[in-house]
Amino acid sequence: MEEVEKISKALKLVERYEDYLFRRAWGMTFITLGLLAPLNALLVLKAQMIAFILGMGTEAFISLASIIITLTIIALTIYFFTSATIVVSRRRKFSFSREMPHAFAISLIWFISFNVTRFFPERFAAVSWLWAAGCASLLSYLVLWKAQVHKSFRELLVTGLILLVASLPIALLSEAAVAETASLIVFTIAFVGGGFYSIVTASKALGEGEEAT
Amino acid sequence: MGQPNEIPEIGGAFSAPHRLTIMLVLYLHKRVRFKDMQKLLQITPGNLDHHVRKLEQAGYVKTRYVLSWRPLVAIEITEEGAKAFRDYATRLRKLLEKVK
Repeated sequence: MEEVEKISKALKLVERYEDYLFRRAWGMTFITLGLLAPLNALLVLKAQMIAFILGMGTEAFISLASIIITLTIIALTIYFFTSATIVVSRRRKFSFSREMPHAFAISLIWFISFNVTRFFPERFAAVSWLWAAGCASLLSYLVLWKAQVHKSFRELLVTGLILLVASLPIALLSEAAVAETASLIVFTIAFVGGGFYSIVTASKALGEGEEAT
Repeated sequence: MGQPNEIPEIGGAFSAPHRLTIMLVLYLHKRVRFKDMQKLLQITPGNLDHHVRKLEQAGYVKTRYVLSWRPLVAIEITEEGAKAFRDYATRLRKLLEKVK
């Protein structure tokens, strides 16, 4: 059955391509999060000055900036992952069905993690972001590892660990402004670095493995 | 037991394994960057270009430049290509059902 063998080999390559797309989507999402979330925090910190320049109320400016940035992050994340999942959805039409409960679980993990930060005491406000992002990254890694849908994303594990470990000394800082700045720097470096690493390793992994013929 | 020759040829365009892979990837994802396809198949740009030209001549795919932070060439499946591949998959499925 030469024809079946050819299809089987081609499907293996499609799976590798899917892994590449998902890792790239994670990378792009990490870079987006690493740049836009700290940008939001910076805008909040400088809200009074910017609101004065724009001729609007400080509270209104903070709300507007937060809504725009949050929606942008959500929209870009959905875009990155949906463009990667076209393969999976078209696969269903091709009768190679595949369930994706892990996608829902991961979305829930990130949503809950960042919402829990509201309940932390004021002095941990800055560092709670790192805890939320660190825990969400580690839990996402565990979900993907358990689901075994794609190859495990070591980037998630490493980024999560870096965020949690780096948060410990920051939590001990007594100066709130210094803690906030340090948290933003760690957050940006961890996510942007993790994102670029993910994209580069995904691209390398695409060309690895057995040959197509 | 069905024989491989029970699958009708589709203009010879899918005869090479690389072309079959290109069509399957494109059928599932519609558009793929030339560079990504080359890495995936682990072949030279010239070799991939040869396969893509064959498929282009059959009217199954087309290449186009896409806007990005650097110039990129993407390979895209055409309506005709998608239909041809769907037909091929249907025939293959029927053959496998017969074998079962």
